[in-house]
Order: sequence, then structure tokens, then C-alpha cells
Amino acid sequence: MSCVAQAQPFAPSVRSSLTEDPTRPPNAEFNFARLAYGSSMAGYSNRRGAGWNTDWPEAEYHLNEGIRRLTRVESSDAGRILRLTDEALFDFPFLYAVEVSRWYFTDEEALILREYLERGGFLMTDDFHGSYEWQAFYNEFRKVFPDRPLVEIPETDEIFNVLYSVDKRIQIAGIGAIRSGVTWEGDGYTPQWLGVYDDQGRLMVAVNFNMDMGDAWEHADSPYYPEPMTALAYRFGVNYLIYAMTH
Amino acid sequence: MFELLFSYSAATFRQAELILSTRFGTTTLAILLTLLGAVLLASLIYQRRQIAPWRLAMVGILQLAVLVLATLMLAQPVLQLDSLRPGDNKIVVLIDTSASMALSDDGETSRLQSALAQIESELLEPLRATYQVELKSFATQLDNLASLDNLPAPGARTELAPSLSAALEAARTESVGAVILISDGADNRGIDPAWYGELAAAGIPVHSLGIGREILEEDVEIAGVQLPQRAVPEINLDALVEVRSGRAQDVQLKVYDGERILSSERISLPGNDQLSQHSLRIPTGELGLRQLRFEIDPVAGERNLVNNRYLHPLTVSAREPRVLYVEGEPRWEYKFIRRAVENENFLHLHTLLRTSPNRIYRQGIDSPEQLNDGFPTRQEELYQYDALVLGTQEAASFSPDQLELIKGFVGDRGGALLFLGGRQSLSDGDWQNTPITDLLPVVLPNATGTFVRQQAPVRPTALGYDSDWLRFALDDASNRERWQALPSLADYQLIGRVKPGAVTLLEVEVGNQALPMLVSQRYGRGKVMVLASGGTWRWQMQMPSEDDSHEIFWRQLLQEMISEAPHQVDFYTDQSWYRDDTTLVLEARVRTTDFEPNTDAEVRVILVPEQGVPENLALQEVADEPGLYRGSIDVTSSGPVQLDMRASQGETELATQRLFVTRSDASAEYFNAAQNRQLLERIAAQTGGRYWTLDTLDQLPDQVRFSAAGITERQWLPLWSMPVNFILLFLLKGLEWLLRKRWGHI
Repeated sequence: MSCVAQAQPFAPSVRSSLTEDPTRPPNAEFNFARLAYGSSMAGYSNRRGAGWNTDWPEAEYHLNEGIRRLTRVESSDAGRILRLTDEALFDFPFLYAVEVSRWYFTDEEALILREYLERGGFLMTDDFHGSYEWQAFYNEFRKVFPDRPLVEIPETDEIFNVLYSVDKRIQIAGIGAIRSGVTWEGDGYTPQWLGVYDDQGRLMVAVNFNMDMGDAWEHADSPYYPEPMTALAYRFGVNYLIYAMTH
Repeated sequence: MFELLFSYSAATFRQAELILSTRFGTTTLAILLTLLGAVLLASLIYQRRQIAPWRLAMVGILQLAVLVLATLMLAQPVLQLDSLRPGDNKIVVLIDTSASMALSDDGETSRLQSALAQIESELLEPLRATYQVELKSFATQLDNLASLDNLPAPGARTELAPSLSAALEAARTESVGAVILISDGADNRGIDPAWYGELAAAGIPVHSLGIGREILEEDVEIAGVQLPQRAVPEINLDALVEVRSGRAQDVQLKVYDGERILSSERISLPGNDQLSQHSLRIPTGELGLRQLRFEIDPVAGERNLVNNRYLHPLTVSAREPRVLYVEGEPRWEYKFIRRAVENENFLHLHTLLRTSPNRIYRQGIDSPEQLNDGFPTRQEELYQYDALVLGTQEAASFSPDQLELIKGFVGDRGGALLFLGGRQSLSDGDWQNTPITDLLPVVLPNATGTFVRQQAPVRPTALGYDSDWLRFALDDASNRERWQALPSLADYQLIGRVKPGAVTLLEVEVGNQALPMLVSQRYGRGKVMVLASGGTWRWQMQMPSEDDSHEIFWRQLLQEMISEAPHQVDFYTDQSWYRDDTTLVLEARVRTTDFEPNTDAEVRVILVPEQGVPENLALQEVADEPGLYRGSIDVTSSGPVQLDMRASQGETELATQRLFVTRSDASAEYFNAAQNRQLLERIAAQTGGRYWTLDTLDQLPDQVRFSAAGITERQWLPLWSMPVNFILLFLLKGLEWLLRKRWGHI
């Protein structure tokens, strides 16, 4: 008799235990902080489909486990959900934003995000695909950095070598695309690793375009999700974090 | 008046010894006084029925006073003193003819010229009547002087101490009764405290006559500048400038490099000739020589403008200290410390970060091979650093040899060591059970769980506020404000009891307790600090991006750590600016790779003056000071002098260093130009002489005679016949008569 494991999402009680009260100070050196951005469609709602809560909380749960296993970073079990206007934001120098084609910033929020990054915070964005979503993402992004270019991160950049030498540039697909038998979504056929550098040549923002590392983390325990993509997504995630903690 | 009442001068009383010269003997006088006292008492008892008791007591006191005074006169008191025998002694008069004596206090005539007539009439003429007077002048050396009309041209500098010593030495073979020193007290060489003892040993009283005003109200002077001789490029140095001013005022202090202004600040001077210190930030700029010139514009009525400038040649060279920062796990503190100093040119920060159990990530290294095997295991590898920072890393991750190496790094090499707090630091890293515990400025608790991830505010102690390297602003109020505005630290660690001799500079406030946060102590040749937190990064993330408190804190802390760490070769001179001085003293301290004195080195210096031909000088090892090489060379031209030092051992070159100094003529005398009364008084006091001014000069010729030096004679001066004795007798008896008349008991 064969047995097929079926990945199940966390029950609500487990979900809440995996997210710390945002007003509490950090309880470990690294706390995965997810940006709860406003959305023109759903505001700051935490209902399914709000955009910012995609893959939550499984993605950070699995990534935190991986960080603890693969590095010496003291990582918290639970992640945080933070708005840009939360006072606690600046206690968490690593910020993750997902489905960023749906994000929306007020002028105040754009200023806060820019200030956060200029003080030394690091932003990783993920899971948006194709030219339409690119435009939506970019329109809001320009509010934050109207004068800083968003550029391709060269393969030689330290972010791809700080712990793992990540030289495989394969497209890390979302679970939906995998189920459809492809790796792309919309017209986003080619994955791009983009970034914004500060005046000292340090990356402040890492932009994963045409890929979905969040799904790769979320479905790390799923037999249907390709293991090589999960392994690569872990390496990228770990490298982003180590880079953010060293540069 | 004194002399009228007491027959002799007050000075005579001071110099002489009081003795009784009666032929009756003190016992006879005592018996006589007792008998007369008894008669007096009997007389008073007899009168007790006629006079009220208190009136009788008053009469008795007056009569007793008369009795005592008369008995004392009968005892024939005399002053016994030794004084110079007229005609047999010589008085040496030393006149300071340096350039500072040529300065004018009134804007017209020089200090010396304005005093000459008075010196001739009130000092020299009376002296010549009794003694042989020998005139000498001095500036850079001692010369004979025929008369006050033949004074030499003002000398470039004053060498008071050697000149006075030479005069006393010459006086040993002659009957010199006293030396009179006429000077403003300026001395450009500096005086060794032992010199005063030598003066006293000569046994000749030196009377000093102070010339010139003690406070120059109209003058402003840059008295000194504290700044290193050497710095690395593109950093800001804090220069400490000492300014003296006659009156309280605000002036503009500027710093130039050639004609380019580097810094300018309005400063307030307290006046009353007090020295005040002012800090000024100076950018070092590119490699090469910065001919720094500190300058204050002339103030109203100021005549001496030479002392408004101060030169300081600064050699900007690329010799950067190295700091090794070892971190046991990725954490925010590591990132933000790196960011605070990575673009600073004053040091090289090499970091070793254990990112995963098997990986060490290196940053800031010079070559791919450097620190490839992790923390150094060889002395020469670790000793190339000036400071070591240990982050959160358990002691067990170091081998016993590495722990001993760290101990030697501080104790023998003279490096600085900083421990940071963290979840595997200090007690939580079991450091209290290692040899390193001897180095620590605290007695670590023998416990775990000492690292607390809880935000807590930090404040400097009184010592911390006084520490230049913990300052965010120069003035105290702004500095306090900035410290109080700092956000809390992200965490803190309990580090136990502070050892005796260690100093606590920062404290963290936890509840009602103030716990030590930054503690420092010396160990061997080096220094050890503990910063009991891994959470200063909050200062960066919680403050506006343009705020530089976090950067300043870490820059200054690391600068403090490396500031005293010795190098394998240190090359320096005795001065940066040679004012009139022509002799440059050069020293090099040479050490082996394990920082023991290197006694087998060859040190050569090529000296290149701006004008003139280069000269070559070999420094010689100083006896009893292994590893120290010294040499001196004369330079007479003005302007910058380039010194290229090369230290070698056999065929191996140990180090080459370039240093600039500068020299100028006719400038030292214009500094500290007010009369140095303190020095003149001390010279007089040490030798048994007195300090005099032009106002009291007329009394000096008489006082000169009181001296044990030279040919003396003993005198006995009777005191019984002093007018004051008879006046007192008359007053006492007259008062008694008046009282009796008033009471009707005559």
C-alpha cells in the first residue's frame, strides 16, 4: 500500500502562535518581519487574498527552520507582521514583502520605507510576475526611491556568494504554475534578480521578479513541489539574510 | 615707622636670632620677678578694702605688665645676626637681555629700558657704596657686562636656568654675598624640578627682581596645541588648543593649511590671563604635509602679534592601524559596527564571522589568503593588529593556545581588547573559566542567562562624561543632551563586579539599578574593555538616517582602543615646532615581531630641510633602554624639515616612516610674555633670597647684607633701648594713673 503525504495549511490556532504581537520587541536576533502593506483592493485586511499575507505563515515557519539548521543565526520561531507605520518597524532590520504588484503606499509610508532602508534596513520583495505586475510594482516603488535606479544584480555580487555560491539562476516557480506544468506566470518567462544599491554600493532592496521563493519555502514539505527549487530558494533566502546582517 | 619704634628694620628682625645678654643670668631675673610679683600682690591685698575687686584686678594687671616689661629690659635682649662685611664682598647682578625683555608694556619703551634708570639709582648705586658689584647679562648664554649703557642686543631666547647655574658656579670661588636676578621670568627651555635643589645647594641667596606686567590685558596668545605629529588621510582630528587672554572676550580661532582655511570657530576666553582649552575639528586631507597654522586675529590694542599664531606640522601618512573583529554568529551589531567604520580611513577593520558551523566569512581583508584558517594561531599573525574585538562567541571555540595568544596580545604586545555582550559572550560563553579572566576589568558571574534581550537605556558615568572619546559634542550641555536622546540598547548583559582599578564609563539602567555597561582597565602593556551589549545598533535604526551618533560612538571607541597600541617601529621627535631651538632630537623605538625590544636594528634618518642640503644621521641605541634609538642634529634654517627614517635588521627592512617638523627663528620669546612671577618667587624662596618689584626695589640694597654666603661678620643689636619699650612703660603707668584718678583712689 502506498501512502501519499498531503501538505495541509496550518490551523488558525497554529497560525496565531506563529505570529508575534507586533508591539513586542524582538525575542531573538532575527525575527522574520512581513510587511503588511495597504492595497488598493483590500486595504490592510488579513483576509485571504489581501496580497501581503500570501504564503503566511508557512513560508516563514519553514524558512526559520532552515535558517536555524543551516546557519548560526539565532532565529525566532514566530514571524512578525508589521505595517510601515508601526513604531516597532525599526527594531526589525529585515523586511519581506510579497505579491508586491499589489502594494500601495501613502506618501508618508513611502517616506518611512525610504528612511528605514537608508538607516540600514533591508527589504526583500517576492512573487510578482509579468509586465503588467511589474508596472504596478514599479509605480509604487518610485514613490520610495524616485531617484535610485533598480538594477540587475550581477552574479558576482556578494549577495549570491556570502554563504552559498548560488550560481544556478533557474526560475523558482509558484505552486500554481507547477500544477499547470510550467514555471512562469503571465508573460514573466525570465527570472530577474534586481536590486537597489545605496551610495556605498550596498544592496538595500532585493527584488525577485518572475519568481516565487515564498511558495518554495511554504511548500518545502510538499511532495508535489520540486525539491531543487525549494533547496535553491532556501539558499537564496539564507544568503539574503546573511547579506543583510553583514553589509 | 617700624624702624622708628623698633630701632631696626623688619627684615633685620626676620633674619636675626633673638638672645638675652644680661649678666645677671635668667635664674636671678626669675627670682627678682617673683619677689617683685609677691610685693605687688601684697600691696594689692592691702588695698582690697579701699578698691572694688574688679578695679583692683585691672590695676594689678597694669602693674604686672610694667613689672614684666621692666624685667625684660633688664635682661638686655639683643638681635644676633650674620651680615656681609662691607667692602669685602661681591654682589652679582644678572640682567635678562632676551627678546622678551625688549617687549614694550606701554607701547613705547621696552620693559628693560623703562626700568634701567631706577635700577641704576635705587639698586646699583647704593650697592656700590658697600660692595663690589659685578654686572652680567644673559639670554642664551651668560656674558660679562661693563655697565648698563653697554647692554647687548636682545637675545633670541631665554635660558634662565643654565645662565643662573653658570653664575652660581662661577661665584663658588669668590666671596659673592648674593646674586640679584633681574628678569621677567621667561625660560624657553623648560625647567627640571631637580634644578631648584641644585640652586639651594649653592648656598648663595638669589634675590629676584620681577620686570614686566604679570597680566597683559591687551594680549591674546595661542599657548599650545595638542595634536599628534602623524595622522592618516581623510579623517577628522580633534585638536586641543590652549589660549591665554588678558581680558574676557570672544575671538575667532582659525586653522590654515598654507593659505587654505581648514577650520574656524568662535571661542570665548575667560580673561585674567587664564588658560582655556578649545577643541577644533581638523580634516587631515590627502597624503603629505599639512602645515597647520592656528591663528587668532589681533584684538583691540594688542601689540604682541607673534603669539597669535601657532604652527603644527602634521604628517599625513597611510600607516593605518588594524583592528580584528571576530564574531561568532551573524547579528545586527556586527553589520552596524562595520557600517559605522568601514569607510573610515583611520583604520583597517578586518572581520571574521562564523556564519554557519563550518563557514567563516571574512570582510575587509587585504588578500584572499589572510585569516583563511580563521582566528590566528601564530603570534606574528595576531600581533600585526592593534586591537581585537571579540563578539558573541563561546570561549570553547578558541584553543588553549589561542587564549594564551590573546593574553599575550594585550599584556606583551600592548594591543587593546574589547569584549562585546551577546548570547554566547562573557559568562554565557564560559569565559570566566579561561585564562582570559585575568585580563577582564570585571569579575564575571559564574552563571548562565546573563544576556538579557530587553531594551534598556544607557548613560555615561561622571568619568564617562569626562572622556573625550565618549563625547558626541564638545560642550557639556550638548553632549549630555545627545546622550539622553539616544534610544535604549537592544539588550544588555550582567557582567558582575567591577575590579579595583577598572573604570566604569557607561551604565545601563535596569529598573532602579545602574549596571556597568562599558568598563575599562589596563592589563600589562595594553588595555581591555567590556561593552556589555550587542545592541548599540538600535541607535542607528531608531535615530534619523542623518544622525551620526552610532557612527561617532564606534569610531571614537575604536580610535581610543588603537590610540596607545605601539607599533613595531615608532619614530618621533621631541618637538613638532622648534621655536628658535636648533637641535632636533630624534628617537625611534624598535621592536621585534613579538614586540620585545629589538637591540639589533639599524636606524638611519635622512634629514631634508627646505633650504640647505640633506643630511644623514644614524640613531644610536640608548644605554639602559633596549630598543630605543636616539640621535640629535642641528638645523639652523627656518621652514619645514622632512625626516625619512629607515629601520632595518641585517638585510631586512623593518619600517620606513616619514615625518615633518618645522622650525622658525625669533618666536619663542613672544610666547608667555607676561612676567613669570611664580618662577622668580620660587627661585628666591629656594635660595634664601626674596622676590622684589620695582616698587620695593629701594629696600633691596639694605637686605642684601643678610647672607651667610661671602665674608660675613656677626652683629649684636641691643633691644632694651628701643623707643617702643619706653612708650609702653609710659602708656601703662599713665593708664593706671588715669584710672585711679577717675575712681578717686590716688
